[in-house]
Amino acid sequence: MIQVTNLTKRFQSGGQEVLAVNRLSFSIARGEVYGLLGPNGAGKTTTIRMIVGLLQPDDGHALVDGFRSSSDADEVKSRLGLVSANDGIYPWLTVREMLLFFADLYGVAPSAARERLEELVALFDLGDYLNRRCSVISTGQRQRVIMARALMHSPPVMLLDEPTRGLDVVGSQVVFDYIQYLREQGVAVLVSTHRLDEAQRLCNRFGLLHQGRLWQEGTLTELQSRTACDTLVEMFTQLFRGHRNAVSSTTQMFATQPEASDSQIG
Amino acid sequence: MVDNPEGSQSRQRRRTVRGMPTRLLRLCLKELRETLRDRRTIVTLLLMPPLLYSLLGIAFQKFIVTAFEPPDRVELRIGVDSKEGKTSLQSFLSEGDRILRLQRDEEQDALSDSRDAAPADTEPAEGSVGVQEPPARSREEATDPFSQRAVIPGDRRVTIAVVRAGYLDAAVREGVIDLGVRLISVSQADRPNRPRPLKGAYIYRSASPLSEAAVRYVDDRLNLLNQDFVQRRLPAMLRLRWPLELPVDMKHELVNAKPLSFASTLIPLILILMTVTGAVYPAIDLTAGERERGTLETLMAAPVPRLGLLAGKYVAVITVSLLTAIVNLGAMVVTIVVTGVEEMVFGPEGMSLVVLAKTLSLMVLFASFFAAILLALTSFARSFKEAQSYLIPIILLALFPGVLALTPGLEFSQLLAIVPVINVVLLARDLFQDAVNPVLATATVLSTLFYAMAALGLAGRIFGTDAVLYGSQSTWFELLRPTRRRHEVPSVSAALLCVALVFPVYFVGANLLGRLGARLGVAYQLLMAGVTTLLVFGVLPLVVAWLQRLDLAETFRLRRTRWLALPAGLLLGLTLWPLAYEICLVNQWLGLLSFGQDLIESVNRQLQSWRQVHVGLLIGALAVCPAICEEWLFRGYLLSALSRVTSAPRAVVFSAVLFGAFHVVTSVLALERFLPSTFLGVALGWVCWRTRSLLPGILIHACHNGSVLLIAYYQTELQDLGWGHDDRTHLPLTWLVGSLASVLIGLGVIWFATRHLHSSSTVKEVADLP
Repeated sequence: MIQVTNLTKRFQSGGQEVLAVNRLSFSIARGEVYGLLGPNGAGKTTTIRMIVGLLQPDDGHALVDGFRSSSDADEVKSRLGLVSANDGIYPWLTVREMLLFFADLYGVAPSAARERLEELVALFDLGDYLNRRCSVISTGQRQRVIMARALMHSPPVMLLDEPTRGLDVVGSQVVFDYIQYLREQGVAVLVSTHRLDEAQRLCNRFGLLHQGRLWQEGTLTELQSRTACDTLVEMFTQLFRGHRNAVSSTTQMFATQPEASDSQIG
Repeated sequence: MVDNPEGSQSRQRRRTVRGMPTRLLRLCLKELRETLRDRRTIVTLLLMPPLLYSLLGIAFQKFIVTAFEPPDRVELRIGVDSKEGKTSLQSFLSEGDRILRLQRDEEQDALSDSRDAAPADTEPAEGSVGVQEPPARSREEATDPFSQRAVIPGDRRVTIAVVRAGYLDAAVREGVIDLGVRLISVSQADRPNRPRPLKGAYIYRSASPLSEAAVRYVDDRLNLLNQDFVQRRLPAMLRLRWPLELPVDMKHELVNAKPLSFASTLIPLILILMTVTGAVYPAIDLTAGERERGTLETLMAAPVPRLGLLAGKYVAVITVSLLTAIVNLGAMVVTIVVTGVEEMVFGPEGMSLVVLAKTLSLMVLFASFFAAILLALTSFARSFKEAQSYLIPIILLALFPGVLALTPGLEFSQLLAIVPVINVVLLARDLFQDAVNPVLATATVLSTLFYAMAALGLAGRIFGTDAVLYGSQSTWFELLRPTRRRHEVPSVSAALLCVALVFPVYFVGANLLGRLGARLGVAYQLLMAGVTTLLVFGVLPLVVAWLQRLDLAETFRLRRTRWLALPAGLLLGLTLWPLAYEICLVNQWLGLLSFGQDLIESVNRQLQSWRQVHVGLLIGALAVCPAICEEWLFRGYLLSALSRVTSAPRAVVFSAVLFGAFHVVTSVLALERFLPSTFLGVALGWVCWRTRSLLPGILIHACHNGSVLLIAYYQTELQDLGWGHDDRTHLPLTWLVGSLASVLIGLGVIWFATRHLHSSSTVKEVADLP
């Protein structure tokens, strides 16, 4: 469903050019959960924005269901669901109004949108606060609303950008259940995260990203055989030790800030 | 959940395009919910005005009373520095009033040719000069001279108060009184039998209409006493046989235009303030606010054209702006009524329905303009703070044209009719003075709407781009820099900008040509008309397209077409005119046109002048050149752009309406041209869409214009051949049936010749991002 080929993006930052994504290539099939892993500033969010068509790549292309995101943006967008940790909500709309508004944006007919809303209310247990304003719901409830919003138009592809950032254990578990649900429904899922432990539990395949480049890609078994490491944390430690002498542990490395501004490079 | 077969998506997209108006309404409703549920909006925009106006009521009254020509009902306050002075002044004014009344009675009697002798009791008694011995009626008035006076034209309420000695100047300066009369006491020791004269000085504020009115009031009456003394009493005292005449006796008679009233000067300024104030908060909240809330990315990830999103926001901003303005206006009207200056502000009829309708229509025009401008500016902003810093200078700048309306003698010219804001302000001034020029009014409305559309188009280019969303570019110049990517056809935003550019140039050009026409002579006039058409409709869109790096062949549909479409086009061009003529007659039914003697004479004069030049020049300037250039813009540039975002029928109709609107505003307002031009525009648009080429349209347009011109040119010869036709009647039925049949055949042939182009439905119906 997703085919990324030689995707490249450069930014100007402080008069210097920063290579945010460097000739990135991978693909995701239906029902597959792909983990795009890397520290902050590795280029995960930039990659997702290029797939959605919000950013134009400097080189390469991303195809979603055969449509190129740079030229057929509407076709691509109508097939995508997007959940991001930065997602905001409209504080003065009720949960119901907001969900129906987004269904409308995606061209879902009003009657179909109401039916879909009922399904998602049951799925995410939104009934208690469906008619409450978004400004008064809790963080966990808000995360459920955002996930339901991304599903209002029944997209065949779902992009999740740091979906568990800022969530507690219970909130994170809801996200894990959500990804599991998507997998069962045959949705192609791309999860970007820097939490390797959770990725290991959720994803079928992994792309290890650092400084915009894909260093390793494959299933956990493939990566284990290639790297002779048991866990993703160990793999990252081994992979990046040679590139960052100053960084002695994976924890420190994953705390490294990007060279360019955070708003530009995810 | 995930089954999304091929085809269902495209069906869904078509449904989206078709359902755009209802969707736009839903988008707008969402924006209004967001804005109006915010208590800050309610408090700031809707509740504050009534409170504010109530508090400012007194100051408001004072401002109006002192700033404008006061009506008679406003009380004048006069101060005198002693009790004796007050009695003396009252007495003199009463006598002056009496004489004024007499003069007016005499004037009225003279008018009715039934002059009667003046009442005996009003004749001054011999020897009783001055006011010491006023007649009985005057004496009665003197007891309460300023409250029991009968109503006479120019009469007003006056109070005279005693001001503490030495404080007269200060009382006038501070506005406690409108006029101070400082009287000099005259000693009567050496003139025991003579009446005591009134000597002194007026103390009043400069540039205060109320103060000046008080001076006029007192001075007029006291001068009458002098005049009366010289003309009537002095001859009696000197026992002259003839009346004395004053060496100079001049009166003021104003015949110039109506003085600037409150409605014509301050209402435009207030409307600017109200609509801008109302639009600022929602404009920021719905654009920069989206980014601050973190909803912008999610919004831009949806498959909706940016211009569509902005259209919803635009309607919401206009609505809130109008609501605010209406609440403000309501509060202001209540304040005006309560403070008793209604007549002064809105004229003798008060706040009538006509005034209300005028104010509301101006309000809509201002709101339409400012909402678009503010949205365009706030679309650049990445935060509330940044948006505010953009808007404050704009609000201050917008006030400047408002102040212009206060400038007396500023003429509303063709050039000013296309200057944003100033044109609406001057239109408002003329509207409230009942002196509207229809051409300038239409040019103002159209140019304002075009500017608003252009601003919305600009907002559509900027809103939600990665530059705003992620700060990919650092400066405005980078945001506005033409794209390096080559596009096939123009975006709608670019087309709106192009129309906003072409219309004012065209309007000024047409008017200049109209003015110079008489001096140039017919041949040069026609030549200039051709050149103007070429520059405005031909060169200007070409330059715009080149700057936008558009594919010129694709944009202007420079393609060959099926040969069969050309003879069909020729047939259409030669036979469309009877139908266009009949549609023109609909104007008669609508009351937009009457074939009066004036019109017929004017047309005949035009025809006679055309016969002075070679027919080739006439056809070249008014048929071939407009056919090429107008098709170049309307069916080339505009239709290409519109086809990107809407269905073909809508694009054709919208471009045809614009085509019609352009034909209405020339050096005169030709409303009757709208319907036939729009009809022709629809036909030409359909042909262009079917053939995907500009050539058949050019042929039709040139033949249509040419045939009409030739009929007019050879009118006499045709009448000699018995083909004459009375201008005031319908065409013969056989002509109409023949025309209709030919048109249907022509359209049918074009449909047949181009069916292969539309078999696979390759027309772009789906919206692209602007």
